[in-house]
Amino acid sequence: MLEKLLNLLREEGIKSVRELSEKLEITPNLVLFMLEDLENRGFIRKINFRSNSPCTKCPLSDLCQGNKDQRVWVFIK
Amino acid sequence: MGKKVKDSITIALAGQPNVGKSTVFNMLTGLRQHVGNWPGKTVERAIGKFTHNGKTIELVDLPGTYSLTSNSEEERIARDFIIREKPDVIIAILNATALERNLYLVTELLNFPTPIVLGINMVDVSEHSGIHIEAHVLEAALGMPVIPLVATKNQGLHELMDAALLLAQNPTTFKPNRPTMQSEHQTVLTKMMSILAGNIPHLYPKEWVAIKLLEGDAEITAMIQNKSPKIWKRIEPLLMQHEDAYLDIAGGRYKWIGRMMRASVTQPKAGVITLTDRIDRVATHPTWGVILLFGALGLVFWLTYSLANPFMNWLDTLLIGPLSEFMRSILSATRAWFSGLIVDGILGGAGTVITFLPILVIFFAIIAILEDVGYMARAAYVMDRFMHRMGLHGKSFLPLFLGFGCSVPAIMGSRIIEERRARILTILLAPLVPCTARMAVITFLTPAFFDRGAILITWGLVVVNLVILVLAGVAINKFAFKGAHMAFIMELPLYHLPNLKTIGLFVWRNILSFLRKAGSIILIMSAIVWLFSYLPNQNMEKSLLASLGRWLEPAGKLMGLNDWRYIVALLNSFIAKENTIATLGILFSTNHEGLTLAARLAGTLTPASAMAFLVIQMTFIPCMATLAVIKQEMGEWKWVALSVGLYLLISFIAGISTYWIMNLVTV
Repeated sequence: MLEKLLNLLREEGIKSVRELSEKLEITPNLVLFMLEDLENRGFIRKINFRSNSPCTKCPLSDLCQGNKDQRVWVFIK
Repeated sequence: MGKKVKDSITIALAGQPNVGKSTVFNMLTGLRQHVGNWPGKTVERAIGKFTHNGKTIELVDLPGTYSLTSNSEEERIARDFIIREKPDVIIAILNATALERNLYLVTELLNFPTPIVLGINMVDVSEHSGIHIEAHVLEAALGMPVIPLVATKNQGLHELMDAALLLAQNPTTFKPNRPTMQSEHQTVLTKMMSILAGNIPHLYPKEWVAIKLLEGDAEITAMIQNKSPKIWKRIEPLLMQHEDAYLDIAGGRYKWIGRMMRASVTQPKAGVITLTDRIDRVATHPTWGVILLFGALGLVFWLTYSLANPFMNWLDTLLIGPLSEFMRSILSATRAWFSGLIVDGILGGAGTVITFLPILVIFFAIIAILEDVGYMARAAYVMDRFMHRMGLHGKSFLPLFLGFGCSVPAIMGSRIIEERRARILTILLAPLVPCTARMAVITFLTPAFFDRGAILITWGLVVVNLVILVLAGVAINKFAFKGAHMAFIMELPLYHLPNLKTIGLFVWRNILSFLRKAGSIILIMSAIVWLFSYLPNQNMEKSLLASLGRWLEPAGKLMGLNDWRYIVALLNSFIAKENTIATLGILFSTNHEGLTLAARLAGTLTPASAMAFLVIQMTFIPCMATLAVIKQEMGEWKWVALSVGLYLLISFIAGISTYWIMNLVTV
């Protein structure tokens, strides 16, 4: 199942959790759970628009849009 | 603990944190519990003794853990207890509202031979949110007893103990359905088990040790390496050959969880989730989603125009106008240059920019509402897929999307791109995404130049910018990324009603930052522009600024800009985009008192020239703040120079072609 998910992630482009859950025929919660697992194993990385990296140094970070609860990952290997 | 007495039964209570395990433990043991620490550890250990159906039961509360790796002390304690003390039964408590996650611990417990009973707690809460668990179906699918519980109300606990007792007395009836792995890994596992047989401490189940070795468990690996180096020599090559086995093992567990969930759990069919589903069927559709997005964009402009314009005129005629008159009258005793600086310079320039306020308030409010209900995340998702089909790279799109707010965060956001060449190109393209300042200027100017179709023209200007962006993006993908694969995963939150406070706060912060800008850089530039339009001989037409503008007029003429004032206004937008309006406010002030700036500008340019001016405004050199960030991010001035050169070229070409095309199609 993890390998199936990884194969889907290897395809280029953006995917939503819902889309992945439909393709794998599992619940969105299970997809999220597997994504966290893949994150811990270093296959994907969570993009943090808020608390670290680019945004902290930006003078406009206070004004910037962005839902704090929303998660975006990028595939790294 | 220690050795089992014949009619005392040891039961281990396992579960992840937040499943209500302590409630179950307290309900079952009451006051007959002993609380201390696990030997040599700081983790609390609770043991309770009680009788059930005439049997003495010793219940051991294991630490709450998500899995049974060797990564935390709690997990090591839990698994060591199961290995060394060999409880008769494990009762695993699961939270009905988080079954997927909780079942993972069960998949790990299944690696031991110990029989397991599942207690599904908080079934009342899950039923309430529409999650229905068919306990009998789940029991059949798992091959182990499943008891629904509401521990806080002492519901199901008696049945749970009945099932545990029955299983403890008939352990051979425990035939669970275990997660599977691919046949090649199953073969390796069997091979490893035969190597391990008789060579590891007898307490350790062979299969569990073999699985942990395949998973790369640090503690078990060290145990074999140190205690049985000869065995390790035989096992190591097998592990090297099957480095990916750990993925397959975990994958098998997820597959098993997915199967169990499909078999026995019905998810909510009503309420927020289906509403989100229904909206998303359109909002994230590959075609309809894009159409909806452009529709939403059009709606934003339409609302901004129709709501903001009356307020803007009102601000201009009822506030800035009378204020100018008032200041002129009280400053009449001062020197002409001073009254001119205050009234024509600062009020005419920075004051005019203040009339933007309604545009910004409404624009930010609409954007905040769209963000707060959850639409912006969909917009990014739909746009990214659309761009992707166009050949634009996803990784450069995400930062570019930030550019709708301001180019500064867009350029900073490009840090997520590791590849330098791709990052440079993304940074260079970021100013093509129209920022709020550019949008406000365009929103102000378009209705001044065009009576009808202003909304359509603004919309068209944005689309043209985006088309240029897509074309440039295709080039980026071709030359910089060379087909490198890049994937994103996005969580789309549920739609919900907007929160007034969140929206208010967002609008307020943005307005505050705008006012700060108007009160500093725009105010100073207004004073400077006025000064240069006044010097050396108090005649604007013969001023230093006019000479500069006229000197550039030959270039302006190619784009239909015969009026030096427009050229100066464009140049000044380099400091901050709003300065275009401030400059026009100053330079078009004379002899037209009582008219709004929009009215004063009307008719000063032919439609062809006006259109060219708007296009140039949209593609002109990025503002100073943006260039400063480019310097900060790239470290070298040559990239700043390149950016200035690039946008000078783009705006020049776009301006000339717009002018000539407009002249061809209009009469």
